[in-house]
Amino acid sequence: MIALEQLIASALGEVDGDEADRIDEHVLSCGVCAEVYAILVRLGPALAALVRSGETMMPVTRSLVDRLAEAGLITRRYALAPGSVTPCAVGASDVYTLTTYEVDLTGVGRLDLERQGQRHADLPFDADAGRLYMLSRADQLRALPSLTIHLRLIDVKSDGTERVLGMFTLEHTGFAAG
Amino acid sequence: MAGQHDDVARIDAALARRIVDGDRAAEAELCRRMLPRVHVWGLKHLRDEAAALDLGQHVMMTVLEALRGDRVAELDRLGAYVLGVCKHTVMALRRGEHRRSGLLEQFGAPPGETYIEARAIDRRQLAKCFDALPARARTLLALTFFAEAPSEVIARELATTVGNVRVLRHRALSELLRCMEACA
Repeated sequence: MIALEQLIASALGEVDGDEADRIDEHVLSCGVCAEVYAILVRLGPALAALVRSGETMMPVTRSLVDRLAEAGLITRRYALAPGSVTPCAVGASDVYTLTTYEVDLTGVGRLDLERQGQRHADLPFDADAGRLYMLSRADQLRALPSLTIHLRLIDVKSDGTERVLGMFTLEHTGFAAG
Repeated sequence: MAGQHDDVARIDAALARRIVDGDRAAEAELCRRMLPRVHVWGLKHLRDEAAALDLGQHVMMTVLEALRGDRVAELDRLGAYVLGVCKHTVMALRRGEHRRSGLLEQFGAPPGETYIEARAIDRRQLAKCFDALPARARTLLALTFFAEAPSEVIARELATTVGNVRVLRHRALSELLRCMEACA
């Protein structure tokens, strides 16, 4: 029997030598493991293609922002300061919108973002720069009507207590095709 | 999974014995069973679907020739023998000794149904499962596979250790795989 963990490690190129040979020999002798392995080997390129297609949303980091920008995938950017009201829109050819929250993140352990009452928990952030980068799908933004979007950044302490770090408002103008 | 693996290896070995004894029908059956596995191995090592298909055809022809000539010492460990052929073939490919047309001219196509249905990942299903992952896992996978960032950079940006990046990446891929299997 071979553990999924070992198949993942092999697919990621994390093993070598005898251990790599042992896993390879098993995959060549086991139809079930070969099927799982086939998915794992294809997942990396498929995930890269998914990001390139503009069909996902996620928090991003500085290097990921740079890589997305190099690829021409960030087509609109907004920088939000606490208390700000920011007009925003989306165009027909937009792929991703990058929203940067600029706030003092000193001493923050876990950072949550609340958007229209919906919580996005434990987001990676740049503590030194005091920034949270969020990537939004333009196709989803195009489906929104004109509306006011309320957002809150929340510092969640290890004891469960919370502190609001900033409140932000986006005044979204709905997309009008043509 | 262990029992299934034993069964598969036993059936492969039985087919290999029949090929040694001159049974041509067993050749097609062994190719049908083994070619997808060799293809996956090739995909991992060559990172190219077409090259992996070529590799699969070449490896299977080499294995069949060895079986026909009764040159495979341990039929019960056919996987080990096939692995050796795979590695040797990849080395030869990298030295530029084989070209696709050359391979097919030299060896012809393996017998029987050798078409491999490329089981491409369903993007809609992948998107659904990816979006269901925790935010941090999505960021990590995008850093790994889209940005191709080194683990040290990922660790720094996610405020964790390189060791933990590996753990989190494995966990994320396991969750993704489970979700995709559940959707299938």
